[in-house]
Amino acid sequence: MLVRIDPSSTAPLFEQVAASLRRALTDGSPAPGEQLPPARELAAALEINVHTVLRAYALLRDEGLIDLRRRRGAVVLGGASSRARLVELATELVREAKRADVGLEELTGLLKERYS
Amino acid sequence: MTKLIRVLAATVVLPGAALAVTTVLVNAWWDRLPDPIAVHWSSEPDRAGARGLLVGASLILGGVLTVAFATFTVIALRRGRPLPRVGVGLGAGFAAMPPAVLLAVLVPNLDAPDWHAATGSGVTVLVMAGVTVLGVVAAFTGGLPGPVPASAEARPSVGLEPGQRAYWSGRAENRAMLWSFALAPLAIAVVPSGSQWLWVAVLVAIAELLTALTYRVTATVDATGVTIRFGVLGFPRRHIELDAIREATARELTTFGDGGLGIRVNPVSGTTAYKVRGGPALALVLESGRTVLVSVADPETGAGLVNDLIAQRITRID
Repeated sequence: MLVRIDPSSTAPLFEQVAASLRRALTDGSPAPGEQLPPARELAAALEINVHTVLRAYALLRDEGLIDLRRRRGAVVLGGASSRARLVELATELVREAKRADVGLEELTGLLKERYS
Repeated sequence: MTKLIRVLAATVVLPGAALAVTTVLVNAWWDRLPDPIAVHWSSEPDRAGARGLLVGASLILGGVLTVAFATFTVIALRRGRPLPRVGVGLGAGFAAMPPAVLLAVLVPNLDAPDWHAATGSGVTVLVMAGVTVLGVVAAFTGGLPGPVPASAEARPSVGLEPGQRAYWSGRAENRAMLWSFALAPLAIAVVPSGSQWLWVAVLVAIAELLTALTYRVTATVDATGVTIRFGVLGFPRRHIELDAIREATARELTTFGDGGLGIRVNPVSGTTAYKVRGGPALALVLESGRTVLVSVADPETGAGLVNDLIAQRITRID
């Protein structure tokens, strides 16, 4: 599991951390049931604030990729790999839509049409 | 032929062969030698010594010198130091000298009724010529002039840009190892061993504790270096500073290679292996010449990050 950040990038650090972890989950490492590194350890290694890491973990939890437990830390959920891939594709889709000046309603319509 | 085999051939096989040949000849000639035997000549024998003492001391000294010289050269090789041909040749010749001198002494004593009658010490020239040839062969076999070059394998990289920060974590575990020890109490209950139950319970508890401590290994890489942790508690733990690492690569290990599973230290090859299974492993070549192997998943990425951090540290201005 490789977590990489670029402090000079315009993207917020917590999003960079979350994106790296999402990519790792897409590759299947760590596997469901395994833990992500403790927030404190990851923050120290990347020389960032621990709350930045916790915010990234909270984002991944909201995406249904991990579970945050008081004693066990951040645990990868079943199906995290395919779900992380889906989130990555959705992010890419939204980025492309914005670049092509396609609005939310039009994009939603497009998705509904393809989904049915 | 690898460098280690060349060095061992020059420092162990050649002097060892001289020692072995001498031992065989001494054994064959034992009944044909007087006791005491002549050990020094001027125009005729002028000094004698006890046969057993001379033979024993010479063979033991030859063995000790061979082992000491081989150990010295292997350590030098492991640390990446050059092995000059002259040094290797002189060392091998010096190690072969005690059995050679013994031969030079014994041949004139052969079939002599007593040590005063021992003649024909011209064999010394032949024996010394043999030692010289042995030294020259050893010099060209095991001499490695110039520093040992770094491995020519391509160094993995994850493309870490200047200013970027990164963290990598990889791990491996051996559940079969865990289960085999977990089932130990059942096996002991089924198979009557005749031992006292208390001792059996203590032994099983120790075995299961050791298994819990060692069935999993984790390696993490960050700007400070590489940290290796064993078991569920993360102990034993070893941290290797980035400054102490020369380069990192990924390597494929066999289950029983490098001494088997667990923490294995090989003083000859300079390898320390942290293994819970065979397969892919992170290989760290240290500045000291030692190698550290850690059996973890996706070692290419970990090795790439180590190499990039080393390069970053070299070019970084703090």
